[in-house]
Amino acid sequence: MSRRLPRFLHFFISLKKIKETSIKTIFFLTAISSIIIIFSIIYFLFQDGYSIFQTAGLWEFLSGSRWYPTGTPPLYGAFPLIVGTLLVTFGAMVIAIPLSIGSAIFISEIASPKMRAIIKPAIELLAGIPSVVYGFFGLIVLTTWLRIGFNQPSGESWLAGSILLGIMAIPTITSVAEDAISSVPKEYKEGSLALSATRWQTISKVIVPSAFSGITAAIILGMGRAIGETMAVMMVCGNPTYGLIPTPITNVFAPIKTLTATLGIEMGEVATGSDHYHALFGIALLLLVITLIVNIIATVILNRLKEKYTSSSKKRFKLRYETNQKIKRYFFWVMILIIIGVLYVAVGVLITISLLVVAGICYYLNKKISAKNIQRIAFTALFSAIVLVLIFLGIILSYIIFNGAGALNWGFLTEWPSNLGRSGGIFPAIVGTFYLVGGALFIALPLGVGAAIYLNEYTREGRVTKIIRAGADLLNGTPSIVFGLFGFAFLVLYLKMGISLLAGQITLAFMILPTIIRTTEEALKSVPQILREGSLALGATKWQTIKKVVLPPAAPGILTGAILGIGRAAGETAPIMFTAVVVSGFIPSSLFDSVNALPFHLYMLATSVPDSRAQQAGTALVLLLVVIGFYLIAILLRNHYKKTMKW
Amino acid sequence: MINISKETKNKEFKKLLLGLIVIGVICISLFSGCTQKTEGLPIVLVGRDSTSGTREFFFSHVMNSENFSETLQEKNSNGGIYQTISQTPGAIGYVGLGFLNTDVKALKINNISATVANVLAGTYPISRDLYMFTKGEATGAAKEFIEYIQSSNGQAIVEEEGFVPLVDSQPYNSSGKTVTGSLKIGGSTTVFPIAEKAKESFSKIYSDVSITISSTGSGAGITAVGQDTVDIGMSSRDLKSSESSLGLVKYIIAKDGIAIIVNPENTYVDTLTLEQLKAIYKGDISNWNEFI
Amino acid sequence: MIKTKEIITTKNLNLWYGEKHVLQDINLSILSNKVTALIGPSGCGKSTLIRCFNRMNDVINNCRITGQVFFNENDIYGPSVDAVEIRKKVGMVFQKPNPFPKSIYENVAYGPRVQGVNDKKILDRLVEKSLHDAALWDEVHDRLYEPAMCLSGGQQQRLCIARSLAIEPEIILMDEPCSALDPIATAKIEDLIYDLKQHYTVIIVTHNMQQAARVSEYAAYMYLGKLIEYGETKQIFENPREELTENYITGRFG
Repeated sequence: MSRRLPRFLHFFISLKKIKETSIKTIFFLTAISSIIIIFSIIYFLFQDGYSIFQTAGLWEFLSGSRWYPTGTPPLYGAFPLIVGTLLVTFGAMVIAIPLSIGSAIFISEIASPKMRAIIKPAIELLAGIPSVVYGFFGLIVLTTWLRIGFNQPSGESWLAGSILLGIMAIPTITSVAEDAISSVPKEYKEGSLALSATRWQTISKVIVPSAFSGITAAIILGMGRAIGETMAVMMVCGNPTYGLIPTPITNVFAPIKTLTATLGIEMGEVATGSDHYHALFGIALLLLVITLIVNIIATVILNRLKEKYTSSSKKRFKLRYETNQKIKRYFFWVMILIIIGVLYVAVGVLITISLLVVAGICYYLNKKISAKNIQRIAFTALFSAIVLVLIFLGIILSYIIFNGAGALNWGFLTEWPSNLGRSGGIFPAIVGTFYLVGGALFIALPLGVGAAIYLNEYTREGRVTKIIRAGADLLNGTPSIVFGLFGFAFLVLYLKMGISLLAGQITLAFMILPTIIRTTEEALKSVPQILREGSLALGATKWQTIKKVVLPPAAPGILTGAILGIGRAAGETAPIMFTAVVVSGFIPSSLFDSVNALPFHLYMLATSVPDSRAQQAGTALVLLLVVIGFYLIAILLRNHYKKTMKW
Repeated sequence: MINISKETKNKEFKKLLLGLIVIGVICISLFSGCTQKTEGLPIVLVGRDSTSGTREFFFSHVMNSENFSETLQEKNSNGGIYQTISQTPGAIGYVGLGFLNTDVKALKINNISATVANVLAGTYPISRDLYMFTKGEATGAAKEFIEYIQSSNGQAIVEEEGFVPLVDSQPYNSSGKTVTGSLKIGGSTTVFPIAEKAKESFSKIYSDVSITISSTGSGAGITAVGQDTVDIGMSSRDLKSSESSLGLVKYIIAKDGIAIIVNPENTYVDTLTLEQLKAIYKGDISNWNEFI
Repeated sequence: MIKTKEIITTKNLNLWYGEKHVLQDINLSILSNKVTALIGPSGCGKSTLIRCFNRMNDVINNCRITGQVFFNENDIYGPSVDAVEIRKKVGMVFQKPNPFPKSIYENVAYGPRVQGVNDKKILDRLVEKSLHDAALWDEVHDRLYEPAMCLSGGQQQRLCIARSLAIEPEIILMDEPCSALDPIATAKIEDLIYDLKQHYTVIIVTHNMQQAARVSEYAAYMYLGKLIEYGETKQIFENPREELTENYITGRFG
């Protein structure tokens, strides 16, 4: 009894089909945008950087011992800069790893729910503090403490950079490690406890080993962050000219120059198109390659982790147990010998021996003390880790609040700066910051949400999604200063936008894109499949289903991601330093005007305008309030959303 | 069986305490071992980054183009140097005269103090001209702005900011002129304060003109004006031979002395000769107590 | 024949999860060297009850307990009692096999190790004995160092039993040990339980009436957090005193 459909309906259906396909195509285009961006970053860095490998030679560039691009003859040896980057990162990891792993264990295994509800957001707030604020704090406070505390001629040193970077890496490592530890099946924990293990034995022998790969990935991600960090390092590390490798290499009080700091200092002043300019792009390329490698390793490990819990029976090449044990034992002793050797070189005979004695005592005590007391010691240590982290947070916040509150008044917020910012207010910088992040969000939100919808709704997991996700991950790991250089080369020079609001907005948009993709995807995933099937079963098209059924419940999650993105964009200095901002702020009247922004204003005040301490602290406070405000909204929104959304 | 008896608990606790005390003592001794006492006051060298005009001037006029010591710490602005010097007792640095104030101590060079008068008289040995460049002859807003700075009104600002004014400048005459549009200025961090302050009063005369000033460094300023990204390039050094092909026109807008500054706590020196200064920056003299 | 005694006794045991009153006035004595089955519909508090016997409920945050649980005449919820010490004497096997992601050997050696046994020879002996007792030795003796995750579900569950035997407990609690297993694996576990009661007291929670009838000597029927009836399995199944019990056993509900 089938009747032919009326003609207009046919037309209507084919129109619908066209609409559906074109929507899908649009989403596909947004999805591949992150890959296009990462490739164009590599392309532009390479295009501007490769000539230095020709003029100076690739090997000389990598291994040369002096960085002196304006000398006669110019020297382009990036080796000391690479060493500097590695040393600062290493020091940061020495500080960050124990503290953040300790905090992660404390939060997920020991803290009561109430405590967790306070500590977790607090550590997430630590992630929200802009790096220029860290740098400001480091420059004014930390370096002075180090100089006086250790009786050094100067506090601007490797150690200062490592401490700051360590604190900055803590939130990243803690949150990823905490996720890994929390995702260890509850059954393991119960099984261990039922076998009369103490809580600490359960944590140290079952939970942490099970979460080991996740923790490793967390560390590597934190490392990537630390390697790519610019502003804080540039402000506190001393930056010896030529790039100096400390002598001896363990001298933590020696000034040090990193790859990022070199870019941050020299990029603004270099003559475009000169060899020096190309050399800086060579440095950026090097930096990008290092961070890409680090991030790829982390991604691979995290993917393995996912497989581990889903498919268990995958057989891998295994050494025989005895050989394995033997290798482990040899490795252990070799490590011990290396550590002793390093100690000997670093601190001399006496201290090495005393350290060995301490280690011996600890080992002896470990054998003698009951499991219960070991637990007590361990929990105390974990607790002090979290307390230390919170103390860091407290010191930084209270310094800025106490010093900044004095400068803060209505005039400061609403007036134009005068006398180079020594008096007057920061109104243009505030407006500029909101223009920048608003524009960045306007560009990044459609791209990011579109990409996430494509990944989650339009494709199955496969090669395409893997590549797109990898692109987003790599973009996420790209140092902010590299975005800055890319923006300068591509937007400012190649597209002839000039130092403009638009260039800054686009650069920031590229930077926050991965955050938005990831949070949107999470939000979409939390919408149960049955809702979609229900809608499709009622004859709705894919797009109708997405629009009417999937997006509304996911909206708060997407909003959270957007706000996190805004927070990140508002605090960044490096990407806009060469693309959008100038000191003398006025409110831009078009997209092609340059602007001032809070983080840059703070940076300029802190490094270029003497006698403006109150304004510096005031600006830092306003910046902090803006950024942390965004983060706080995002965290609260997310918590609220988690509580109310129960499927 | 279920309870650990109190005695063993106490014993273990004492052992634990003892262990912790031992560890604590060793840590403290380690810490104090690290903070060894230093003799005198080691010199901390602070200078500008390699693209700075001030550094190039210092490099050619003080160092006679000999290399700096490897321990020279780079700051990318005069203010950065000032900040470090005011916080670090052993530090020495060089900044434009405009950056002097009570937080740092300016040293005499060859027994002549770094003052505007001495630079004007030509007796202070480390001084230079400050420039603005335009691509081709300055026109429109750029021309008026440069004229304004070169006038006695502008030179008052120059003096107010601590730089050395040009001799015989005339008052600025704005009668019958209208200036509109936008003006982009970029370059030397040394010249920046002059331009910024001049902008404030210049905008009062011509309310329709919008001026943006970025302080990026002399090299960048010259490059930018050469590429037409800015209308006026500020510089604290003259053009280099490689830049002569850019077609730039030079305007001297002020003179500047380079002050050698140390921390006020530094009581070892009040005056240096140029040779001593060079020796310090080459790293041949590494401690202030060598001056006693 | 080993003399039996009351090894676990509860007195007015009450338990709340937050506001929810999960166990109400449980009074129960469990005899040593017997297999006792806890039966009842889902959510009646059986698992919660056996988790009281080794204080596994301590792990749960908003759990509140009143009343007493005596183990060999010591109140395990007494003020100075360490849960760890209790768990040395009261082993537990869970519903889902939960071997650690370690080798078979390490899984069994885990308990002795955390109690401070580090001598390789003693560990070897303990591992072999425990695996023997759990009837797993013949199947795994040539691959002790392979990951425990490679075993089948039934083998994993026997490994978990071996693991709890290695700490030489007096009681073994089993929380629906066969619910995730197929009939053949279930039969093997049931045989094992039968062997175990020579040396251990076994308390088993089960949904499976036939299983309770097959393996246990005593049975307790629970309903909505209350202990309805407790007695010899035979009596409970053939001649229940309470109507509720009868309804459940004859399958009229539940």
